[in-house]
Parts: sequence; C-alpha cells; structure tokens
Amino acid sequence: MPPRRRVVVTGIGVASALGCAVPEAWGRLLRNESGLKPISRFDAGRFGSRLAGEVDDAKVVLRRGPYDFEMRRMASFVRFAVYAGEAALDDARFSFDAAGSEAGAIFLGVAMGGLPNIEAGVLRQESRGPGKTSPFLIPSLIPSMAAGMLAMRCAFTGPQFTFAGACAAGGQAIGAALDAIRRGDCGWALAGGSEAVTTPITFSGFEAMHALSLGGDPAATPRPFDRRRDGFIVGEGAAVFLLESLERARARGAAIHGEIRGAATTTGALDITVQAPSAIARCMTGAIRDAGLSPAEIDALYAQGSGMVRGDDVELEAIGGVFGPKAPPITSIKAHTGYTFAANGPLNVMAALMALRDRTLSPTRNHAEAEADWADVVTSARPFAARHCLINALGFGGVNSSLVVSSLSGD
Amino acid sequence: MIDTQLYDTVVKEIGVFLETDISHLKPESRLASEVEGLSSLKLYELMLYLEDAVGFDFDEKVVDKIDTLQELVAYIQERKH
Repeated sequence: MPPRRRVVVTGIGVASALGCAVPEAWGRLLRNESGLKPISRFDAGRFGSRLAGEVDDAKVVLRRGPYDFEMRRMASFVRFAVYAGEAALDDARFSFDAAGSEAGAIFLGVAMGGLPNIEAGVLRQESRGPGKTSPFLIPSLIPSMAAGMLAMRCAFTGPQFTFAGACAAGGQAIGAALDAIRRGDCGWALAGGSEAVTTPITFSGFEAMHALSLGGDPAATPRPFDRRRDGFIVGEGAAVFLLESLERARARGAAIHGEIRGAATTTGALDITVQAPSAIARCMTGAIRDAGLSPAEIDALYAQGSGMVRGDDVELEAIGGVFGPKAPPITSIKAHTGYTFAANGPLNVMAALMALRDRTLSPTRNHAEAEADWADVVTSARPFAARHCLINALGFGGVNSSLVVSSLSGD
Repeated sequence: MIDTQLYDTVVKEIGVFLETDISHLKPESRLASEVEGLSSLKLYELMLYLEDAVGFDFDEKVVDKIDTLQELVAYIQERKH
C-alpha cells in the first residue's frame, strides 16, 4: 500500500472574542486575556448567565464582492465563516480558476446555525403577521449557507459539505477534509467551523439544563477542569483553514503552518448531554493511531474543557484512560473565547498550530483547584516539546471528534 | 396627484436600500427591469424596508402588481400612516 498523502495547513482565518486575526487572538491567548464580557447583543436581564464571548462585528469586515447585499442579511455564523474562509485563502496566497475550483472541496461544521434569525423571525411573525417575514429569512439561517456563501463569493464550484455534529461538528469537518485529501478526492480544501447563537433562546435553553455558569466575572468563570466549575459561558466565532496535500503545498512554495496528521470520530454517551468516557477515549486513541503515533508521543492536549460540571469530569476520565499517569499537559481555551459550539474544534486547531510554531502552550484561565490531582492543567504559558498536539471537540448526542495536529519542523 | 416630497423620499430610500443612486430614474421607470439588481426577492425586501423607513403598511398581495416607480409612490401615499 502506498504511503498516505500528508495534509498540511497553509492558511488560517479566524473570528473570535479574542480578535479576528490570528496574531491578535493567539497573542491574547498567550497573555491569558479573556474575551468574555457582559452580553451586548440583547438585554440579558432576564437571565442568570450574562457573560458571553462575542465577536466584535466591527472587525468582521468583508471585502466588497459578489452577493454583498445578501451577505448583509445573512446570520452571523455565515458572515464569520465567510470572513474566516476568505482570510484563510489570503493567508495561504491561494487562488483558483475553474479547474482549480473542481480540485477542491469545502467542509464546514455548523451546529445550531441561524438560531438568532429564527428567533427574530418568529417574533416578527407574531407581532406583524406572516406577510411581513423577510424573503431572506430562510436563506439566512440554513446551516449550509456558511459553505454556500463562501463558495458563491469565490466562484467555487466543487463539492461542499456541512457537518451538524453538535459541538464536534467543526472537528468532524476537518477530519473529513483530511480523509478526502488523503484519498485523492480533492487536492485542497477549506475546512473549519462557525457558530453564533448569542440570542435569548440559547440562554433559556441552556439555563433550563443548568449548563451555563451564572458567574458574572470573567476572572472567575468559566473554570475548566476546576472542582468549583459551574458551567460554560456562551461564545461565538469561526476558524477556517486551507488544507492541501504536502506535495501541492511544497510545489507552489506555500508557507506551511503545520500538519493535520490524524482524526477520529466516535459515538458514545451516558445520556443525551454527557459523553461516555470510553467513547471519548476511543476517539482520542483512534486519532493518535490514525496519526501513526503512540500516546507517549503526544506533547499536549487542547481539550474540550468547557467548564461544564458534567463534561469536564468525563473528559478527564477518558484522558486518564488513554494516557495513564503520564498524561501530557492539558489546556483549554474556553475561558478565553467562550464555548463556541461547532467552532470549538477549529479554534482549538488554531491555538495548537500557534503553540507548535512558538513551542509554547497557552494557559487555562480560572483553574486553581484541580478536579483531578493527576491532571497537569497548564495555568501559565509554558514551553513544550511541540511535536504533536491532540485536540478534542465533544458534542451532545455522544458525538466525539479528536484531531492530531503536528509541526513540520525537522521534516 | 403624486406627493413630490414623498416621491423624493422614496427615491432616496430606495437608493439607500440598494446602495446605489437611482435619482436618474423617471416616474414611469419600471422597477423590475430598470432598477439594477432589484430581483423579486429584493423588491419584497424593499417593501419591508420602506414600510419602516417611510411609515406605511403594505399588503403583500399587491407587491407583484406594482410596476413603475410612480405606482409604488402612489401606493405608499394611499397607505401612509
């Protein structure tokens, strides 16, 4: 069997509460700054959870192009995805003609899509009647419109896929892109995830589940892997990557950020909102094996680490099961960015790539009293061996995604 | 008799909505064919926008029957608050 194609990252685009450019977002992660603030998108007075990791819309500036009118009417997750996708193409100095278009593919993860637009549309319908619904409402909220508008704006005509695997969706999308390029189905792919659901019904729903932290101080919440954690904080954002085969990237002299070396996705749940530790463990083990590595070769884990009371514990149990007493350092970005649902995995990939480049792990905020004494949770920026990072993104319905991201230095 | 002030306001607001200058159009100009980029979806969206910008209520059944700029202004004038 011939060796598998290697798949590398040549472009990164990001929109997050930490900023809408990779240097800004990564810099703030390293400096341990929180992007969480009091909710501005609506009056949160009715809710107990009043913080969010909102993207600064003023920074999501799309260049003038096709469908400008329609883009202004799209839900935020579409705008963030298009912004991040176009930024990834720019970062990669990559463009394509019609033939090049058909050599590529788009894989995006979107979990809840245009929920804010659905909510606003229903309220408008009930107050002003069905005849006063915008004809752009439905297109604005469909999850696949993120990939669709990105494709339409750059005249892309190859296949597009949208994954809806809850908070694992973005990780699954990147894994699918990896597999597609390895198989030779495509030579390049835009892959990532996007989510923006900072809207009242999101808070109603998650508060009813007791899933949200009610803390109002970003210096104290969320608390990934801390025994005092009380839930997650809603975030929004997108991260999209240009992936290419290593041969193609080198042939055109592209700057390479790192390698997507392995991926896996599993199913297994203790109940509809809590993943089974055994299934998370199988997912991590599967990604490591797919990368051709052993657990001992993983230098760090960019975890799910949401701050959820039931969530952090099962992930820790899984990590212990995979790595035993020699688990690698663990870190979470959720207290910096908020919990970004389908963008969780992709934002973790961005952080891991930068960590590998700078040989420095970003810290976990608000972690002081460990849930598990054996877990080495990184609480300040830390140098590390920087060869391979494991990434987790886990979702309701027992859907799990793990990725291995590696540096190419020394290759 | 068309209210000229209302006519000017509607022309201005259509320009704002479409982000283009349409002051060159005449009252008899046909919206669907002479206003660049005004598809049927955008025409409906325009009516929703004008409702709030100008202050009137439109009946969605009438939208397809409005042909010219003059007819649009006359309709708004008739339905203005």
